[in-house]
Amino acid sequence: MKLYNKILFLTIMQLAVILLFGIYQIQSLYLTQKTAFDQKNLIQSEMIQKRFEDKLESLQKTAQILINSQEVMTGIISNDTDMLYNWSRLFLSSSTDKIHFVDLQGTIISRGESEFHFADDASKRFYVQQALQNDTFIGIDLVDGEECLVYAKRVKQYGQKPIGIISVALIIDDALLASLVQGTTMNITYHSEHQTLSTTKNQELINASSLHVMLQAGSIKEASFNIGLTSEEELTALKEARTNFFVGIGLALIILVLALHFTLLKHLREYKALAQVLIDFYEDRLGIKDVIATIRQVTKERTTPEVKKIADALFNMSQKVADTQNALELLSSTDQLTSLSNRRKLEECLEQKLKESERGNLFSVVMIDIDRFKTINDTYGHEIGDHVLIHTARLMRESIRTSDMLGRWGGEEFLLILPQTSLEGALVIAEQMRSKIYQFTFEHYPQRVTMSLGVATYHVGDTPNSILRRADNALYRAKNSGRNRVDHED
Amino acid sequence: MKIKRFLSILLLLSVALFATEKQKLVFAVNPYKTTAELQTIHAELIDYLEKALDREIVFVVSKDYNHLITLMEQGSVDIASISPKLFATLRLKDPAIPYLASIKFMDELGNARSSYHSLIVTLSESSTQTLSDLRGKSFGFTDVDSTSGYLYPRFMMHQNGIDPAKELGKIYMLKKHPKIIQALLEKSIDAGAMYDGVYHALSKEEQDKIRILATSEEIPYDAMIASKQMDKALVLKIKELLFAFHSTQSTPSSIAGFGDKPLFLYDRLRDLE
Repeated sequence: MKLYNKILFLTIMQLAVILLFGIYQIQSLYLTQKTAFDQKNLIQSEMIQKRFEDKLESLQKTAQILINSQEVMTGIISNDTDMLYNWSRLFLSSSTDKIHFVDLQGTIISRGESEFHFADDASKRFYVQQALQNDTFIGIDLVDGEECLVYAKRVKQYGQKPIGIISVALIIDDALLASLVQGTTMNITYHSEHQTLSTTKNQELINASSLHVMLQAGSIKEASFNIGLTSEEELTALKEARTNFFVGIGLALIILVLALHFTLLKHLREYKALAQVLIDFYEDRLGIKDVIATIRQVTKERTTPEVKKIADALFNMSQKVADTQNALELLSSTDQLTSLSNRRKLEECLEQKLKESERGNLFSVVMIDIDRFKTINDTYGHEIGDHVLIHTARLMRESIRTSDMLGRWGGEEFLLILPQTSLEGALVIAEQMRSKIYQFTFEHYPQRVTMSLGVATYHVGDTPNSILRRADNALYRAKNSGRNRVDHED
Repeated sequence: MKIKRFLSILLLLSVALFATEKQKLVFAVNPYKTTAELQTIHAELIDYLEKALDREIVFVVSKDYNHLITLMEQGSVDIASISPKLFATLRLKDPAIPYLASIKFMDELGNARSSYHSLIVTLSESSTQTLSDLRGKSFGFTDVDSTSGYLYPRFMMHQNGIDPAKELGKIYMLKKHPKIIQALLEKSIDAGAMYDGVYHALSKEEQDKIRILATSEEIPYDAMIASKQMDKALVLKIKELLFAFHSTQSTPSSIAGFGDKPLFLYDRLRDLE
C-alpha cells in the first residue's frame, strides 16, 4: 500500500473512531436528558391530574359541609335566602365559584355568588335533573350560561326526606386552566361544543393526552381536557446541540482529510521530484551536472525542512560523484609520465576537429619524434629516458597556446593539434618548439636533445588516418633529411 | 349550655349586686345590636339621666329578648328599652307595667320618628296592582320575627282575603329590609315587604321603580318601661325627663328623643301572629 494511502487510511480511521465516540457520547447524553425530560413531564402530568382531582374533591367537600349544616337544611325548607347566602359566602373561593341551593321543583332559592339573584327555574338543567333523580351529579354542565365543573347533591332531611339540592360549581375558564398548570411547563386545553380554551395562544399541544377524570356525561358534548407541551424547547436545544456536534465533527473530519491529503501530496511530490532526478540520472536522461543543477534548484525553492535536508545530501553526493567522474575522465585521457593527453584523448580531439572543420574551421597537426631516443635509453637507462621525456613534454607544453592540444602519441612520439592554424602558422610553432628543445640543457642528460617534426594541415575529406599519414610522411622526410628539423606535407 | 347557664347566673348576680345599691339605677336594653353599639346609642341618654337624677345608671344588655322580660319580672331592672312586640307580650302578662315613653329614632333622612309603617311593594312595571294580584306570585319577607317585614304584611294580606301561607307563590326570607328592594330590582321576587324607612331612603329615581301596594297602620318604636317596684314619684320624674330629652346627635338609628303613643298600638301587635 502506498504511503499516501496508509497515512490517509490510518488518519481517517482515528478520526472515525473519535467521531463515533463523540456520537456515542452525545447520543447517550441526549437519551439521558430525554428520559429526564419525559420523567419530568410525567410528574407534571400527574401533578395536574392531582390538582384537577383536588378541585373536584374540594367541590364535593364544600357541598358535603353545607349539606351537613342544620341551618342550611332549615334555610332550604324555609326558603331563607339570606341565611343560605350567608352560608355559601363562607365557602366561595378560588376553588368554588358558584353555590346554588335549589328546591325540589328546581327553583333556585339562593346563589352564593349573587345575593339578589334567585327564584329562577333551573329544573331543566341537566345537573339538577340528574341530582334530583340519581342523588348525585359530578361532571361538566352549563350553570347560568357558563360551562362549569359541577357537583350537585340531593339534600335529605334526617337523611331520608329529600328537600332540595345543593350545587357547587367551578367555572371552566382561563383562570382555572392557568391554576391547573401553574408552575409547570405544561399547557392545557379545554374543548367542548361551545368553546375552546387554552393556556397557549394558537399553539398546538405536543404529545397531548387527556386528563383521566371520572366525570358523568353531562349536557355538554365532546367536553375534554388535554394536557401537553407547546414546545420541546429543552429537547430541541439538545437536538440542535447534537446536530451541531455531528455537523461540526463531520466538517472537521472533511477538512482534516483534505488538509492531510494536500499536505501529503505536497511532501510526496517533492520526494517524488527528487526520486525522478535520480531515476533520470541512472537512466542517462540527465548528466551529473544536470542532477546538481536540478537539486540546487530544489534546495533554493521553498520546501519542507525534511525534503531540503535530503536535497542537500543529494546535492553534496552529486558533487562528489561529479568530482570523481572528472578525476576518472582526467585519468583516462592523460599520460601518466608526461601528464600530457594520451593517445585516446588525442584521437577524440582529432575526431572533434575533423567534425568542426566540416563547418570551415581549419586546423593543422604536428607529429613530433625525439631523435635517437633509443640510444638515450640504451646509454643512460630508462630513468634518464623518462627524465628527457618529462622535461621535453613540459617545454613543449609551455610553448603552445591554450587552445592547442598536445599529447603523447606513443614511446617518444608526440602529436600537436593546432586549431584555427594554417600550415604556415603550424610550421612557425613547430620550429619554435624544435628550437626550444634543442637549446634546453637537461639536468641529468648531458647531451643535446633534438626532435624531428612533421606538419600537415587539414584537407577537405580528411580522415584521422589520412591527415596523420601526411604528418607522418613529413616526419619521415625530416628524419631522413638529417633530423632536428621541421618538414611539412607536400 | 353550661357556659350559657353560668353566664346567666353571673349576670343575675351582678344585676342583683347593682340593685342593692340604692343610689344606682339599672337600665336594660334588648340585644338588637352589639353591646358596644348599644352603649354608643344610649350614651347621651344615660349621661343626661345621670345628671338629671344625680344617680349612677348601670347599663345592661340582656342575653336575649325574653331574658329582659325575666329580669323585669324579677325586679332586677329599674328601667328598660323594650321592643314593641315584646312590650305587647309583657303587657299580656302584666297590663300594669309602667309605660314611660316611646323612643324616637333618627331615620335616614334625619327626621325623628317614634313610629314607622310596613310596606308591601312591587316593581312599578309589574302587572301586580293590588294585594289581590299577589296570588301565586313569589314574595320576599325579611324575618319571621320582624314586625314590618313579616307580621304586619301577613296581617294586611289576611285583611284583604289572601292566605299568604297558601295563596302566595314561592316565599323567600331575605332577613334584611333593603334586600327586598334589591331582590325586586333583580326580579328575583315579584313582591316583598319591608319597613318604610328603606323606601324613604331611596333616591327619587329608585322610588319611581317601586310601587307600594299597601301601607300598614302606625307601628310604634321601642317602648321605655319601668319596674313596678320603682317609686312612683321617681317613675313620673323619669317620664318627664324622657319627654324633655332632645338629642344633639343626628346620626341614623340614634335616639333622637321620646314621645307618647297609645298603648293599643302595641297591644295590636299581639294580633298579628
